Amino acid sequence: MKRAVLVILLLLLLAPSARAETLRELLDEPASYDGRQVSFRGEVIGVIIKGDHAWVNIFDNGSAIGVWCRAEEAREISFIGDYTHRGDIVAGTGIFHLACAEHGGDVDIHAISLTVSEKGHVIERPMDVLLFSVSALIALAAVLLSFYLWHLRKERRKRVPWPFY
Amino acid sequence: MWGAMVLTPLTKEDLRIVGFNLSRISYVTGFVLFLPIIVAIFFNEFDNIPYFLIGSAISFILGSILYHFLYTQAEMELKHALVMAAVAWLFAPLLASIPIWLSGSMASPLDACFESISGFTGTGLTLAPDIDHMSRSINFLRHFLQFMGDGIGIIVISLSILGRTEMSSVLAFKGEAKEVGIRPSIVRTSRIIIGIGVMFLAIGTALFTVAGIQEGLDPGQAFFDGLNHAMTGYATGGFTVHSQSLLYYHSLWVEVAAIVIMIIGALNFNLHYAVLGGKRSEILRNLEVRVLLFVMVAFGFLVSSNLFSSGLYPTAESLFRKGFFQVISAQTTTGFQTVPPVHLMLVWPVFSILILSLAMLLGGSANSTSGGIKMLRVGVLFKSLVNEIKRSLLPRSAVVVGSFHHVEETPLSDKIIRGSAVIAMGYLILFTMGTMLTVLHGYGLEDSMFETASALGNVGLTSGITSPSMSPLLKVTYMFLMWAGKLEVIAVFVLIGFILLALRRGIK
Amino acid sequence: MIVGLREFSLREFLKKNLDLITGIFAEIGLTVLVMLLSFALCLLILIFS
Repeated sequence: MKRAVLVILLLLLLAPSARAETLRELLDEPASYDGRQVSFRGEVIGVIIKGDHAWVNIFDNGSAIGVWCRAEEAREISFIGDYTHRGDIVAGTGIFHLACAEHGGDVDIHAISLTVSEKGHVIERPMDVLLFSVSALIALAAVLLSFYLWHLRKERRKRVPWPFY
Repeated sequence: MWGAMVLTPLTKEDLRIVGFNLSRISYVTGFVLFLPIIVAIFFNEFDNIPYFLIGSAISFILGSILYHFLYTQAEMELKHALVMAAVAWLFAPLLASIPIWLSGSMASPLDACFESISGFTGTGLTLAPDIDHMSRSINFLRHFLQFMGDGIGIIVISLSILGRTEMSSVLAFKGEAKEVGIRPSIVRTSRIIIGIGVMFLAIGTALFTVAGIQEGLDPGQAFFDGLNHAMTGYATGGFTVHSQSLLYYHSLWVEVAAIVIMIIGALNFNLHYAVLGGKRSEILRNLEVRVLLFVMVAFGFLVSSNLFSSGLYPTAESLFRKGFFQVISAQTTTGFQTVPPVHLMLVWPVFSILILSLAMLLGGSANSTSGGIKMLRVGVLFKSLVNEIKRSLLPRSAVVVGSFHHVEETPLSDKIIRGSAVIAMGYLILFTMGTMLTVLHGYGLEDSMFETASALGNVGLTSGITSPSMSPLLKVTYMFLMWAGKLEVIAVFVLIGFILLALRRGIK
Repeated sequence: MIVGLREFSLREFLKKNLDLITGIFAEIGLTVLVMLLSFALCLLILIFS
């Protein structure tokens, strides 16, 4: 019995470092992680380098958070996620702050370590030829129609005086 | 005008005038949807061009059909203008939702409509599941919709249409004679409004860009983000380029730039006109500015001290950047956020949430890009309350005459008080209904009040209720609230009256 | 060279648009006032706690 309790206690203590918390968990229960060491993993969506440190904004499954790390760690990142890029996946550990006193009360993680675990890539966005032709046709139709209606009005104006048109 | 409207049944000509003037709205929408093509070309997003082309072409087709078949030379009267405004703010978002839906960045057509209405009304609630991977051209369109729809369109409407109604006679544009017809008035005021809007857009973009570069952003990104945030900041809209809202930048200076542009956006247009025309003292004498300043600072103080006493934010900087920033964002009805939405629901104390809801419901200045009941009405109602108290204390023979300073000394007439009270009541009724419907969906009371106030006051702060997984009924409810709130409830009443009249008496 | 630019005189421009420019500064001043007031209140909260 005693041993079981000890094992459970040990497991509880080790839990935060044993498995990676998803960003959603961190943001949904911030009080229980505040000031504790957490591990994080997510796609890079923004890098802002400030002197010898940098903000790396990471995104995972609808949640995003800023990670404050060393600038050289941030320079390792090669792809930042946007429309045409899949950003690098970074992982690491750090201290989670619900309201970081150093950074004006922001929610953030101060990274202890941050490494690129999966390199991003360019996302090809080929032009949909069918859609493009359809759109060109509709645009042409719009131009032709307005020209035709304008022409009709001009013809009618010749025949009927305005107020009775 | 109201009596006359009830007596005379609708004629086909009435519908014709409304439809004909909608054609112009359709043309403008077509132009607005065409512009992002330039952004798409600039950023090599050629695959996005068809979306805008289709949306723009459909708008132009509808526009020319309406123009041709409903052509009329009859002068637009106030009732037509009101109905036109109410219909236009449904019609134009419907058109603008076409490219948003085609781009596949929304989960359903309803979501695309929601996003588009949120854009046109300058609300800023978003259902986009992944803003960070959204194409720049679609993102630009969202922000541009807010600038055109709210930053320019709504001010034109409130100055030259809503301001002429009996209910808000004090709000009409001071820069012109009252006898001018509605159409010429719209044309003339739009010119001034576009001029001032573009000027503040340039100032805002410059501020955001400088702040961004100074914080270490790449200059190109700083400019693109800055332009977009200046558009939504001036329109007190609140869409942002990143899913984290302004928290993305982790920067005091970006937030300071945002505060500057938000407060400027929330100032009355009559005030802009007076101050930029040389009456600088107006800025401190104006009743509305005084009320706005007082309420904003008082609410900020309450929220900050509440946050401090709950032990959340221990430093002065964090109280300013979280407490005051959130209050200013709510009061100006912008909706830039520096706190993750879910923290407003789970971490912030209830008192702060209630104060924020109140701030959102009261809103910024009348005739500005902000929403809510508006400070001028709050000020007028408060003054009239004081007068009532005076009246009950003084002997019966004494006559209490109030006045207030709004560009010029204006007597506090019963008409003004009545109009303010009616509109405030309209907002409160809608607020109660919206809150009840949200509570029905299983959300907590304070979060429901917060989210409803955010939709009704066209704010865009969210506690996490607004998400793609929200129930369709709630989405439609919020779309209605955004629309009704932006048109100051008046236009909606008139539209309902128009429809009832048509149903009861038919169309002659 | 752009013709308009050669004749551009900053002094003339400022003189003509004095009201506009001071007006803009007045409005920005108002926002700065709000921020200063807010920050002062934040400090007050800390001091009196």
